[in-house]
Amino acid sequence: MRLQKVFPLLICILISNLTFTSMGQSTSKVQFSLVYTNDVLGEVEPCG
Amino acid sequence: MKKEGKKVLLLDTGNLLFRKPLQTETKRRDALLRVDLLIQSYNEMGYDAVNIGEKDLMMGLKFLSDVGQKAKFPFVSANLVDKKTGKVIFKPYVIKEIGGLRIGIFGLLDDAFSPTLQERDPGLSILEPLSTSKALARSLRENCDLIVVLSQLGESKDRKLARENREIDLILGGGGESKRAVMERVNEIPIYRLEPRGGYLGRIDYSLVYTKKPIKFLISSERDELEKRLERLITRSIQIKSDMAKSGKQEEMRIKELKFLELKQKELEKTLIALDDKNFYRHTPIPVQLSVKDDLKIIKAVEMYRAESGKLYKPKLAAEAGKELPEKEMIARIPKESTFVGAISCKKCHEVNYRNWLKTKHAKASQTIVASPKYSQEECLVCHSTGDGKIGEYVTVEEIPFYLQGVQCEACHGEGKGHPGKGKIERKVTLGACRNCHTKDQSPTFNYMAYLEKIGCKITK
Repeated sequence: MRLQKVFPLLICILISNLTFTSMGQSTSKVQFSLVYTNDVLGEVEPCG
Repeated sequence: MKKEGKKVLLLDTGNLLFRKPLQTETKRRDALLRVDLLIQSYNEMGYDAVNIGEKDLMMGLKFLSDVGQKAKFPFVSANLVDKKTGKVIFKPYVIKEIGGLRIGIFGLLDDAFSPTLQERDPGLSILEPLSTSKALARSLRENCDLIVVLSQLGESKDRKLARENREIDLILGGGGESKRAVMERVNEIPIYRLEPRGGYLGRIDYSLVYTKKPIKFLISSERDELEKRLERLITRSIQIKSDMAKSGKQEEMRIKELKFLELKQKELEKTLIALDDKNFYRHTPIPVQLSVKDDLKIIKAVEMYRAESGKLYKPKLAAEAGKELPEKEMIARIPKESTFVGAISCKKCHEVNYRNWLKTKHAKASQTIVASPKYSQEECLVCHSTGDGKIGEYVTVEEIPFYLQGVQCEACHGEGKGHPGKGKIERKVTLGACRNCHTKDQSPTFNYMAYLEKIGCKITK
């Protein structure tokens, strides 16, 4: 897992999520995201 | 992130800390450094819950409990219990509130792992996961709008869980032997898992209009199919535009097709908007690509890890560096039974190619790993040496046989024993052979013809 890249990706998700939410507020929608990882297996620096 | 009230839950389904048993002291110390880095980064990213997997218990319960002390997130497991008391060791579940909804999240461990676990930690036991989940989901349902399972049961048991437990709203999977990603719905319950080793983040976007319990997601294959069609239309439009830009020609047929696609696109978008007053979710796997900008705080922690990890391995390698053997002695020492003969043997007839090869990155591929703090990762050696997986499994650079350092002739042309004559040498190296290592992720700028020039084999003078 490229940890240093995961965090910026999460921020992008948050921003898009916020934009999505503000657009949806007029129809009183509940909008949120679940972000997940699995079986990282101690990987901090893939080859390459 | 949470302080700012943003609506994202961040979860990990387990098997976070280790991959395989740590056979040497150096590997153990390196793994401990990685555990520290992972926990530090997960704290920084604000994970909400992390399930416990079999591999997280590799160094024993006490170790994991100590790690848990450093973590700002809870480790959860509903069926890992104290054998004597039957009580859970970690939190069985957490309830998170998001957008006014209460989401119950619990973790499950596969009980097939029980005998190994008890050998290591006799005081521990794993309860049967399906019945545990039924009881827990029923009780959580009273207080929660949605129930999410972080599973380490593996693919087939995840399906069984979905078939037998209608209380669950989502299964995020992991564990087992499978390395493939899963995106499926069983009994209307979505099951998702990503390929292992952190190459992807999974994202599920929820949009709910009706939040009265039990929450139903009316979105179904219809919307998915419409979205897929829309995606195909957009992709085709982009392709046509790009082809026209490349050729510099405004071909009538293509313009007509483009107009047709745009019309269809608008119709589909209208239909999708009409479906907008339904509850739905969308799953997207996001590749963690090199092009993503690094987070400064975490890259600093990664660099510290690299420095510390490098110290563990480098002294050993320095001693190895001086072992340059004279050519004749080197050839004489190559084991007779080895199917690989080493580039030094190829030199006898292909001296010009050999000398050209010496100047290439291929020749220095094993040394590249030595120079990088990442070289301890044995999986890198498959592409940074010759013969790995065929004449042995190299774990560290030191284990590469002296005559197979770097990416040599036989890495691309095949084993040299019997050549010339009845050997298996492939004269032409295909794109497919290169792609074994020059994958899109690892070698994004790879170009077959250009790289072929670089490796020096074609140059005969």
